[in-house]
Amino acid sequence: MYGIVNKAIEDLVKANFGEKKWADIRERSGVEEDFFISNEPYDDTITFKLVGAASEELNIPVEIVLQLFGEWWILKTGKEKYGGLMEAGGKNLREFLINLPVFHNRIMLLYPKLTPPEFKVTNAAENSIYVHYFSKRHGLQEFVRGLLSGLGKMYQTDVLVELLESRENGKDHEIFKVSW
Amino acid sequence: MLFQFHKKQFDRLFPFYILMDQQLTIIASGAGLNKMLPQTSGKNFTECFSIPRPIVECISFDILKTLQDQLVVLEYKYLKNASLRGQIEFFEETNQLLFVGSPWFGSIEQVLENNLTVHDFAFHDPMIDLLHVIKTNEIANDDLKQLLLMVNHQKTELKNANKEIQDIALFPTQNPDPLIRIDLEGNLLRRNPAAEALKTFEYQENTFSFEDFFKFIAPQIEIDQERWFFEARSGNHDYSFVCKGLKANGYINIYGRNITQAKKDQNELQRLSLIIQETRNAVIVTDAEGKVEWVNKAFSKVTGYSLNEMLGKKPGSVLQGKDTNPQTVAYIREQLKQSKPFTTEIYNYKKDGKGYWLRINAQPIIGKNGKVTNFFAIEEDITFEKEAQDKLKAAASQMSSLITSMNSGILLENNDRTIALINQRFCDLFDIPVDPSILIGTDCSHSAEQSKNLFKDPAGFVARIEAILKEQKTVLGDVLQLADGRHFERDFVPIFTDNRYEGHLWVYTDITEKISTEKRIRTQREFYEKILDNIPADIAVFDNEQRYLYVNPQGIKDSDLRKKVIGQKEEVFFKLTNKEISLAALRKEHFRKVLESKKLRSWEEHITNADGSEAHVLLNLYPVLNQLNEVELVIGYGVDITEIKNIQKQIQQSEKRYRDVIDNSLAIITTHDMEGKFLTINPMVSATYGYSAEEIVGKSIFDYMPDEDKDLFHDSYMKKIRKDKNYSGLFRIVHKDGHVVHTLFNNFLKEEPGKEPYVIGFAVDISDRVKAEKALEIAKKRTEELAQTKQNFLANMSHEIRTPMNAIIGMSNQLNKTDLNEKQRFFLSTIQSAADNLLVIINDILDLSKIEAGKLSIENIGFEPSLIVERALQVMNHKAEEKGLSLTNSFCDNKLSPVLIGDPFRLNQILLNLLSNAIKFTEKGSVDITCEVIDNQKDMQQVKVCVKDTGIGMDQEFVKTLFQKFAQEDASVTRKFGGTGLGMNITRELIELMHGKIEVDSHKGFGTSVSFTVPFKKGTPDDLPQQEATTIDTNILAGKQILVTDDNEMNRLVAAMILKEYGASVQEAVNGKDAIDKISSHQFDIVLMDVQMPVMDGLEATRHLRGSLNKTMPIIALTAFALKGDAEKFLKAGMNGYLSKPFDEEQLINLIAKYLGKKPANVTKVARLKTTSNNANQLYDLAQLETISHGDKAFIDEVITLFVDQVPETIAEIHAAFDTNDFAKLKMIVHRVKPSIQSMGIVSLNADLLKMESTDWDENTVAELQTLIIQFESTLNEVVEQLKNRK
Repeated sequence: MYGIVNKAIEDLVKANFGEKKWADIRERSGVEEDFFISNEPYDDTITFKLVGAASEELNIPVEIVLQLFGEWWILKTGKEKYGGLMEAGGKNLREFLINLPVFHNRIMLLYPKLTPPEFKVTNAAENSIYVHYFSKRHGLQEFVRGLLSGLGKMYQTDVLVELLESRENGKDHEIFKVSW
Repeated sequence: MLFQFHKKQFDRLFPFYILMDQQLTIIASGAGLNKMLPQTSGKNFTECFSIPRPIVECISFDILKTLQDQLVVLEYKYLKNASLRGQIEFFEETNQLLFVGSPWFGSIEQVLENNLTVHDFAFHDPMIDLLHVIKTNEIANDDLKQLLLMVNHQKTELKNANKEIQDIALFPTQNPDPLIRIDLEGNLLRRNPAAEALKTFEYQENTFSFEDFFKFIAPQIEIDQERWFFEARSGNHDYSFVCKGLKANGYINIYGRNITQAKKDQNELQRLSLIIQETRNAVIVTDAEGKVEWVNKAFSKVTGYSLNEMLGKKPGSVLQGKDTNPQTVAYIREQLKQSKPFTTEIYNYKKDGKGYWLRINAQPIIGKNGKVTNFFAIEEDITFEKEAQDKLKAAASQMSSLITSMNSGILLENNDRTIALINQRFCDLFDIPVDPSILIGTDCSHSAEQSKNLFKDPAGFVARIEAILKEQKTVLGDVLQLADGRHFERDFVPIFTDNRYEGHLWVYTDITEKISTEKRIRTQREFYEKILDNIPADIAVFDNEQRYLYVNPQGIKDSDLRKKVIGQKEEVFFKLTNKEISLAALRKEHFRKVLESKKLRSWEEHITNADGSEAHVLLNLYPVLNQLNEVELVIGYGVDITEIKNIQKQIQQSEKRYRDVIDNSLAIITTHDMEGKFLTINPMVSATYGYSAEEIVGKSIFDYMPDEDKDLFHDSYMKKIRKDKNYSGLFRIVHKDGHVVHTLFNNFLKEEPGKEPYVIGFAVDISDRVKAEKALEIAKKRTEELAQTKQNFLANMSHEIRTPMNAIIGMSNQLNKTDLNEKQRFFLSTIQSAADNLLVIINDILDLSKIEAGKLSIENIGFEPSLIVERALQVMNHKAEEKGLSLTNSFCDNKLSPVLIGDPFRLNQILLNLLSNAIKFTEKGSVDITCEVIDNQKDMQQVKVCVKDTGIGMDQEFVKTLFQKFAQEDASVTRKFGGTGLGMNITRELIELMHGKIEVDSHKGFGTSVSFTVPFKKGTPDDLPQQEATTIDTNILAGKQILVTDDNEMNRLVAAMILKEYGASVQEAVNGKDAIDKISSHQFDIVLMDVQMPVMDGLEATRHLRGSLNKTMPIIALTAFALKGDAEKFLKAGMNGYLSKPFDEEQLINLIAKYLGKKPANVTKVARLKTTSNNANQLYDLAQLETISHGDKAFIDEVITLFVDQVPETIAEIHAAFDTNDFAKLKMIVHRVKPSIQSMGIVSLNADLLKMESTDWDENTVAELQTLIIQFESTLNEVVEQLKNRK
């Protein structure tokens, strides 16, 4: 994972729970890095350790931490760090989601050291769409759920994100149904 | 190779292209460009764009053509930051220029500002990615900045830490105490400047050089111990060294401290401690917080607590207890807090729980820094001292309290005449308005002068005081009178100690009350003595040995003698007065008995006075007992009762006189006790009843009563006289010779205090009167029987007349149907007219007889009053027309309720009577009827109906008798106008039965106005009786078999003739039995049955037919005399309907047709205003059932079968309940069957069911119930029949 991911976790914790809490989480996680450089790749375990420690320290289930992080990624990291890039992805939620695979592919090319997930969309209807999430990583489906609901918030649209299929149920990827 | 694209394809590849013609008109442009710059299409290129790179002089087609090999930047003229970067290509074939490129943005934000999204760019276009990279670089830069900041921050922190370490390192070198580090062998590793100053060490009486000393000491240091220390001397100073071994580091740190002064102090302290330790007083040393650091032996001895037990504790927490004064504790605490010395006394507790007083002297020990380091306290046990003080205080307090609370004013003066003690009472007595405590110590040498004016003799008061003071001798009981009338008593006591005058005590006591009490007692004693002296009775008081203590002047008039006898025994008095000594002995005996019994003793003495007169004296001796119940005194008093004796004698004489009166009275006078036993009787008793006084006295009245009356004696007479104290009534007493004597009595209960109650009776023999009354009663009964006979006669007469009238009218009607000549028709019309008149007369007589027999009752049903008036007018209209009169209803009050509750038939009768009278007695002019509501209440109306005519009128005299029976103004009226003279009488009776009244206003020759007012309850349309739907088909009679049963041949003939006319086949029967015989042998469709018949009447015959013969054909009663209740009787017997004779043809035919109708009856009762079912004759409606079953025919059939089967059972149950008056059960049955009746749609029974179920039936309403049951049964039977025959 690029450093920006860990940085985002750090920002999320600091903004919501304070500097001290972040120090405690870092302490608990056993991660020694003081500073994450956004464009530098770090080992995935660092990210998982931080999320796990945040869950324990804040007494919030890992799933919820991931969801919060997903929303934070869209609403804070995306918007604040990349400015209009996110908004340039589409004029509304539906447009953004339809173009999500292309958008993602484009970005992927800019990060050669990334092990990127892949998105596909099907069943695009007037008020819902299926988002397929293919990833080599495990355990980030709730992060994706948070991303999707964060997008809803970014476009000020009430969304319902349902996990229809999952690798946990023997499928080869996750399918989210996003309804608004 | 030639490429060809569709516009769409080209758009996808180059969404920002621009195609221009030779005039540079933009003829096509990419979708992205159009979105970004929508205004460019169709315009000239130069209008929209400038070219900043490469620099061109002017923009033309040719110049642009030259730019084919260059990177071209276009700038949109009208927007900032709207540049395109690309290249131009010329197409020769079309002579067009094509620009392909992409927007050139500085940031991703500009993409949005230009209304574009990522998807407006071709996928191959890296513009967006470029922007992203720029953004990523920005982020990376930010990261680096942050990192730099962090590094700088850490650098600063590192510098600070370094400095801190240096400071720390400097710290031990600046220490004035020696610090030394040696290795484990004692070789010096490091030392601070203070340590360098130590050259030699004296240790255990040896002197060492620095190096040798530590080599010597190092092996002794117990390196594993936390702290190991030793003391040594160097130069002139003593040092203490603490050794801290750090084995891992291989060295020992030795921290030295100069303890020269401390040593000195310690020695001093040891010496002081020894002193303190051995002192007798307890000594405590605490730290600054008051926690014990040390106590001496004396402390442990006094308190029982050892030093160890006290160490670290606050003395108060150990020693103080429940009686320790909290204020003292607070004081100590405050002093400690403020570090002040203090001395106080406190009550503490020893270890064994005993309390003790101690005096604490405590002071803080101030350290060199000026702060308290310790507290030092010496405690002295002062328990004994305290106890002595307390005793002294208690004594003083008691004394003071005693003096303060004394009722006397106390003033204790010192020998210098200052006040030593004075109490409140003294201040009160002398009006000194200050608190006595203030006066203590003040000079009182002028007090006599100051208070002298309180006394009646001020100068005397002052002089006496001076004299007393001068004499200095005790003075007691001086009485002083005050100006306001009070009295003080004064005592003076001089006080000497060892013959030395110390002062004196004044005691003043207010004795005003005491003086006045003494005076009152004296006055009271004189008062009682005066009474005793003047009581007109001999009164003497003796001691228990009969010696005189007191005797009043009445007892002994001679005052000398009176004085003389006091203290003497009574015998002495007898001797002195020369009285008969035997009397004295008698009195002595009485006295003895009084002493013995301790009770009052009275007796009479008969005395002959010296002048020969006699006197009777009642003597009494009354013992007065002391607390030990012993006789202390005996009071003797004698009353002269001579006068009373004389009165008694007179009473005896008077009583004899009364006795004589009673004995000679003609009244029976008796007394009897509360069991009825005679106590006394006068001679009249024997004279009246034949028994002697001996035979009666002691026996009860009861014994002389006839057996049948005996119960009355206790049940009625004795109870009543006990309760009411007097009773008047009649007794029948059996004379000695056996005949009964009727006795009217008036008896009184006498109750006198102390006596048994008894009854005085006064009675007279009224046998003759009773005999006369009986005769009168028989005569009255006979008269009543006679009247009844008359009524019966009238009733029977009317019946007897109505029967032939039936024939006359019936036959006349039949005759009228035949061909008659003019003369015959005239005769016949006369006969009919006469018969009609006769019928009216008969009806009048019948009504009258009913009224007199009290058998006429008024209906209470709903009716429409306007309809009644209208019908009456209709009926009478032709008569008025015949006479050329106008018959009008000029006023009908619109307040009149549409429905009233009352008897519409009788109201109709009244109206017809009044109208026919008016028409009858009016020759010309008009008859008018008005109807007015004169009182309109919520539930009722008072209606006034007035019939006014312009007829002959009546004399005022006749009007008065108008309502008498058979009243007609004169014989000529009867002749001229006919009538019985009963009409108005009946009218008035009917109106009065309706609780109304009638009034007549008539003037001879001008006309008559008859008005009546009747109160009616208001009703609603629901109260109107159900009407029968009369859809009668009279053709139904054709071919029907009808049996006419009547003992009157003519009646049979009339009926038969009529029926035959309608095609019926008629048979006749002469009585009930005959009818039964005929019905047994022949099938009839209907039977007409007279009620009153010889051999067997109609009711019995019907019961027979319905009962044992089980005949079901309709039976119609024919009756000439139908009273209210008869209908029920007929229906109950099993008849289906009835008809009054004489009946008219139409009535008869309709009734028969109704019952023959469609088999067996085609009459359906329907509620007014309600719709009938589809078939007017069908009593049931299966619509509900069909709805419920959704038309399931099998189900409907099943339900119907069940219903049909249930009906007879239900009817039998209802009859059984009715016969046993079990109305509750009846209602229950009705309630049970109601749902099935409703589901069968038998709406005609709804109202009846409701009524049967909701009414509280009793014997007064049973007839109505019976009618309902009959209707219920009849309807149900019809329904069953209809159901059985339904298609």
